[in-house]
Amino acid sequence: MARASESILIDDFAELIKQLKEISPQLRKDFDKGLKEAVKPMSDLAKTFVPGSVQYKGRDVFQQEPPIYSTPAWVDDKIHRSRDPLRWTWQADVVTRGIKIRRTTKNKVPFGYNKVAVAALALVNSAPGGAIYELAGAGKESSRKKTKNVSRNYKAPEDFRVLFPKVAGNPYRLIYRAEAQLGDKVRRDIANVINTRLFKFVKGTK
Amino acid sequence: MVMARKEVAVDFITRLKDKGFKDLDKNTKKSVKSLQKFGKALGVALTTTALVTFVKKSTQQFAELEKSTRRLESELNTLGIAFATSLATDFTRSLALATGTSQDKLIPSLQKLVATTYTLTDAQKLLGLAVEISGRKGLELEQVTNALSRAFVGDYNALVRLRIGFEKADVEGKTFAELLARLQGEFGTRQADTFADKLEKIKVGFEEAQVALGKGFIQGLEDSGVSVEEFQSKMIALGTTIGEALGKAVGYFEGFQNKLDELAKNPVIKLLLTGLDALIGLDPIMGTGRDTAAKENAARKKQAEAYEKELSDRAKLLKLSEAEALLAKQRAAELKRLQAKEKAAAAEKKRSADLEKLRNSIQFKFDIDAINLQAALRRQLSQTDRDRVLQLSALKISDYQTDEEAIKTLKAATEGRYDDAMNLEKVLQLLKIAGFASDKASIDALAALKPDIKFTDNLDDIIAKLKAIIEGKYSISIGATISVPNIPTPGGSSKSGGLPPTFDPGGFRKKDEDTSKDLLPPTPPVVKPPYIDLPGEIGGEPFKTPFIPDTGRFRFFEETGVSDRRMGLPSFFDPAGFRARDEGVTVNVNIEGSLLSQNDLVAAVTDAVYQTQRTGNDLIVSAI
Repeated sequence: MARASESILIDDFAELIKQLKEISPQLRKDFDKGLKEAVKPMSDLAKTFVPGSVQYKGRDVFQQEPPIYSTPAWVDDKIHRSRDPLRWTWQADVVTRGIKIRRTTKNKVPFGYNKVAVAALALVNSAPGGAIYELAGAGKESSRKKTKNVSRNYKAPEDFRVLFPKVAGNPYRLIYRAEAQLGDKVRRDIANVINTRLFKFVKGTK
Repeated sequence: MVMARKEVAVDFITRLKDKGFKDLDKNTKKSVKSLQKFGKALGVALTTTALVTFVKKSTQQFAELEKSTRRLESELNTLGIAFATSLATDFTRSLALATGTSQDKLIPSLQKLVATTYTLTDAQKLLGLAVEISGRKGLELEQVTNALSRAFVGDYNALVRLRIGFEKADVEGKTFAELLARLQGEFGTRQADTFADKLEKIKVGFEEAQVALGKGFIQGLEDSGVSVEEFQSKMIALGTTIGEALGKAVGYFEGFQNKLDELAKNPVIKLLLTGLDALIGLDPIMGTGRDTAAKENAARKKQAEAYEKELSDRAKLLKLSEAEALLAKQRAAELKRLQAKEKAAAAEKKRSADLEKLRNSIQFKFDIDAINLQAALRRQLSQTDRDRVLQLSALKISDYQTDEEAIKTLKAATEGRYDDAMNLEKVLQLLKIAGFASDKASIDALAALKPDIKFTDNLDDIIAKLKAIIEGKYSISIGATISVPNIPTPGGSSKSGGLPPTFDPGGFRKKDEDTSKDLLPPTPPVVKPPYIDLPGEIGGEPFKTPFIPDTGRFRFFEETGVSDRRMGLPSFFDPAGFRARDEGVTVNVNIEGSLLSQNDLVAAVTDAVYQTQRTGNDLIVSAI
């Protein structure tokens, strides 16, 4: 799901940051800031793609009102009930806030680097609604069959498949759309931060 | 097991996980980490290449290396020798250090060779050779590996295309073992290292340092008395040492700015020089007693680890040799099985072909269409119909021919060359079937004579012509004299002493007692021999079937009551029209000329016998 194919791989990234911090906390902060600045234009662009409401053929894809949990399954089940009932509705501001730059993750394994790598810098679409909107209609039948659906709202995928037509490959809606437009530039900027800026800083010649 | 990531994200920087590292090959990991540390140390201070760029590059290389190692492991796993993966990577690592070819090129090549040769040992041998050829001739390793692996399975074209001194004529008819011996003779011994070789070796040890070290550095290094190989082997250790020294030094600095100042005052070039001093044994970096003790402990530990690794390697080698021996045995058994299968298939094919041939031969004899066509040819036909029939005959004959022959036949028939179409061999084959020539030698002899026979001839004519040829060829003159047995005197017995000297058979004549008229001897019935059932043949020479006299009308001499009227025999008298009681007829076969084979004799005798049988008399075989 996560796109890691063009990610810059630094095996000892944590150690690098640790050493930078040891040399100078400021250096580390500045390095961090530089990285975030590089990704920020893409983050901003992705936020502009968040629609006020999501409709397909004149019909709202997300519910207008939060669910009332009236079915027996929901009444008996207090565990899976969301703390925020509004999460099932389309809240553009929440989705917008959910698009953020994540500096480090501990156990989030990027696709294609299973078991040996984790993301160190990523732009994520963290709001559930945003993630659904981003991915709906994608995926292969074979992968769907392998996924065990444990949701109380187990018919949701079917509904979304009806409402969001099948997309060949990954859909370009929010962050993926931004990545398609600005991804290369961001990667160049990050390489620049690593290669030039850090180096100059270390040399004290900036 | 880490679960797959379930968030929507675009990754820009990825780091490797420590846990993941533990699962990877330790040696590979160690070398990469050492390189990386060395890179950090030298990269920051010395080179114009940035620290992180180096890290990035080395880790990307590592990722590639890890992938190819996994592929190699998978390949070895299919052979059942996955445990030898570390041996294989050790080999490629040492080969990389020795030859200056990077591991990420060597491992895929090794994988390919393992896939071809099925043994790690052979694959290693070939890889060493491939690297040497690639280095000397300036060829891509992949290209050379491909050529060698193809040559291993007997396809030498790629090897010739490499243009390394093998021409097509050189490799034709040679086994791979012979070519390998030649290749090893030419490329097995290393030539003196060129300057470029040395630079490459340094590059393998620390690729990014190449720019910084440069030509001058290598020259200086050689001047200092340290060989490139020695430097190379110690380079990683040096990098670690410098890295540690730098790390410790950093701890003493109060702040980054101070560090920069300190760096300005004490450029790390000095550290490098100190490192080089350590390398050539002039001055160790660490001075204090505690450091020295720690170093000694580390060295002991390292030695113990090395010993442990060596033991483990030996055990693996032993296991590898056993596994490879087993594989070889299995392959030999498989080969034997395949050969037996092929042999059985060939025998079956031959049997089927023989069977088909026999079937065709029989089918040809009983092919009603062919018989009808032949019969049609004997009638009075218009030229157009005759052409049609002949073409149909050609078409029929082509059914019994191979494709190539059939094309010739049909082409000839289309052009009106019917004699060519109905090739002579086919006609001769008919004769063989008819029994006129009973063995291959006779058929060949007939074919060599090229008798003036046309397919369009009447079959009876063909047979007559061939008979003439057979007789001419073998100079066989068949003559049969018939000794007539004792013919009793009228009223006497045949056993009473024979004919009187005055007996003249010509004085007798047969007479039908009922009508008292002279009885004409009947014409022998024409009986078609059952085994010359040739296409279109109707009737045939009367032979084999014995003549059966009409006993109702014929009489023996004593029964005829013919009186000796002292008259000459009538012109139609034929002694053969009579038969003797209780006694057979002796047939003497006088053969004139020479006989080429027993078959000729048999044919001659048989012919004489047939002629005699035609007379209706019994045969007495007195001697052969």
